[in-house]
Amino acid sequence: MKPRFVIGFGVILVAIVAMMAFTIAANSNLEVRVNDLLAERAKGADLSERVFKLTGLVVGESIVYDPATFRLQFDLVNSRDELASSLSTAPRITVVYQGVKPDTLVHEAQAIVTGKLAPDGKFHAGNSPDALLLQCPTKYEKAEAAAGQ
Amino acid sequence: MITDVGYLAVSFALAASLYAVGASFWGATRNDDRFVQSGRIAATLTFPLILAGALGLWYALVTGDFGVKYVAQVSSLDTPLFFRLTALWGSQNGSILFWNLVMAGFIFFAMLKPWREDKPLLPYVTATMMLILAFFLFINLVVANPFERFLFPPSDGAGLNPLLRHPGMIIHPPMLYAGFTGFIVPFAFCIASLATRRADNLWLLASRRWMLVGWAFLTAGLFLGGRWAHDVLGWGGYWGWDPVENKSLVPWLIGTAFLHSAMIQEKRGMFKNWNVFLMLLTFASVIWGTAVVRSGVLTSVHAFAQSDLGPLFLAFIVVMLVWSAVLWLSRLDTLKSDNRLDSGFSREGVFLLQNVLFVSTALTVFIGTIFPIITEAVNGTKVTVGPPFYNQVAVPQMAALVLLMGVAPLMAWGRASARALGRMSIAPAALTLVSLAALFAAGVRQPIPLILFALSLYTLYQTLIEYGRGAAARVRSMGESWPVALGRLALRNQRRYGGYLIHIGVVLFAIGATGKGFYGVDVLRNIALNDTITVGNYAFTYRGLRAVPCEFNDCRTMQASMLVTDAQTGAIVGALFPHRDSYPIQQHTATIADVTGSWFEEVYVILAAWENNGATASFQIYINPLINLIWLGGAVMILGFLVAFWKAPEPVRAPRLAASLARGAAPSR
Repeated sequence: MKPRFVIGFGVILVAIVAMMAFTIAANSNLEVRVNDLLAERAKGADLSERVFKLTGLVVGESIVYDPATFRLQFDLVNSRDELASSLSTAPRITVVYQGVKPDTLVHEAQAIVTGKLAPDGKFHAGNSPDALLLQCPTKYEKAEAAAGQ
Repeated sequence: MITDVGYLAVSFALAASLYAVGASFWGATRNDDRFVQSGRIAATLTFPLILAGALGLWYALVTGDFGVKYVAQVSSLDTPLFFRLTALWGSQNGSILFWNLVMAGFIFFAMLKPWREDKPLLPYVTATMMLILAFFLFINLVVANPFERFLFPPSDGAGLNPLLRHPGMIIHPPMLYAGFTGFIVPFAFCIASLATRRADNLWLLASRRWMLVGWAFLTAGLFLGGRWAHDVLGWGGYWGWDPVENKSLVPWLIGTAFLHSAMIQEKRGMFKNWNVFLMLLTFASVIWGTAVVRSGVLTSVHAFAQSDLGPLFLAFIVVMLVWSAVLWLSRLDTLKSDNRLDSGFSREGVFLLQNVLFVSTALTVFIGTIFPIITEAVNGTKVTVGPPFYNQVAVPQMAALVLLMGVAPLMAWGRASARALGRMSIAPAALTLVSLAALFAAGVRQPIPLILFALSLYTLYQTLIEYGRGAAARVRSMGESWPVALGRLALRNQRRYGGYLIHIGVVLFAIGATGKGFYGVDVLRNIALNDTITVGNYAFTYRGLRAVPCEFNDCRTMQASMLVTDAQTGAIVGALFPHRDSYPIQQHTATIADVTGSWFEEVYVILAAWENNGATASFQIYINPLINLIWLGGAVMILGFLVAFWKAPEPVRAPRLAASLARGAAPSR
């Protein structure tokens, strides 16, 4: 193959890789657990522009939902142990979500929330269809994280 | 008891496949055809043996033998017969058995086909396919055994996953599996050709039609999967860049690249190394895709359970990649091109560019999918990329491919003339401009959808005009009527016109995807009983909520009633009855949408929630313009495949193949 073809295709590939790199930088979500995010915040970092994929366990008694405005709020803790033994003292993050309350949002359910830690100290879920994913607390075999509806 | 027979049959299938590997190698090295034939017979036998295993499991499912763990997991006393049958692929262990059955089915036909000029490849084809089958049979018998029994059988099972209780379940998984496993035949031919140090097109000619079949099944599987997601998952969409979807798209993209570059090798004897590379890559991506769904290494909305298959698959992929790469690299010198690429501005040049784009798109999707794994390996944190990544990086590459699809057929082999290209582009370009003006007048003003529509329409017009031009020549020179000319033209060159039809299908899909993607509406509204709200051009009146009998015994259904009218004229568009089925045993709720609207614009409504016994209810309302073009595009693609694949019986095929092999090039057809 002639060198100019090699150069031509090289340029295309470099352009695509560069496009990938920029898009990843702008659109990637870091997967964190509740404690990781709290530790980051404790360091004083400004996290309000960074998108996180936050994983934690739902505290059942904290769930507040207004069906007229679709505003849903609930707390997440880091681990099942904390839910069982030290619920009152365990560090929490409050999640705010705009949408219908999923049936699977119950005490002990594992939630994966994609969103940002807003200046009000609450974690605001984004508005993509999979911004709030829940996994049932039971031992049902399927990884059935029903989408947030 | 029956399941024990099934287990035994699958064990025999594993033994037969291992024997076939040994006999084929022995026969090939000793040049003893008796062993080669013996290996071939053993390979042929794997299909009936695995079928016996599957029948055993089907028997257990139909008779409700809950002593078998798998049966208790995917069915219950209430499960209707139909879903007991499809439950064979309703969960991990059974679906691997089904996967093996489909793969052995392809092998069965490949073994039984008449082996003539390609006979020297036979032992290596057999050995390659049997090694791969043996790996999956091993998994089926040792790690994911669907025949395993309880010590103390339960009285009833858990029932099939509610999401899988859909008619699409009969057809979507089998299609996808056939698409994936179908690639095993061309892959085995490719490996056999490398192993026997052949430099000719034999493997390509012998496996091209198999490749096309695998590709068509994969295409159908992708579209049916999108349709299933649209109907069942209750999110109004059809594609979400989920790992489980991506893992099917990557082999499709690479396989499509291969189907195109194989043509260049047939016609011009070029790209020989590249074709081998693409074939190996296609199959590697198939195995990677299987590993993604099966091992649970990636978080996905519809992945299988976490399982311990990950390391096994990883080992298998590494062995396969190393093995095929070493084989290929040691044969690089035998795969010299017969021709040189003289000019980038030629049919070959455009094909090469198109191939690079297909592979780079596949690579983009692949990297996006495994990004969490990469980042976790590098610095211990999982970083995922969402749909914006794919939309911004993969979609532009796909749009460029759509344009190339229109331009490529106009380019001459060797060196194309810019003037001829310009002349032939005038008509489609003019039609595209007129259409764009009409779209602009109709309110389509955003630049990106306008560009996407323009690319799609240009290619659509170009393809139609190209077809018309060929028919016009027949009308002039042969005095045929237009319908006869159009029909005969397509029949005289089925591969070309089948290909054009597939291109039209892709364009229809692209137009539909652009319409849905940029002009789709998605809102959530809370409506009080007998109140009306307006979304877009439609008025929605909530008329009540009631409990209705559920389709299955293990669920309860609440159904809303809604009237949709035209917001301006008040004319009735349709009555909708979206419902929610709750399954207390599985702790699962299924939201079943109801759909109305016109062919060009779908109104899709989900009952999201209700309060105070239905005094108010929340609805997710989607307006999906042009979504039907997506399904139509898929159907046209499959139709195009049938045109390209279907062949009138030709008694002289074998000598023709032999003659073309002697020339070292494909028949001109």
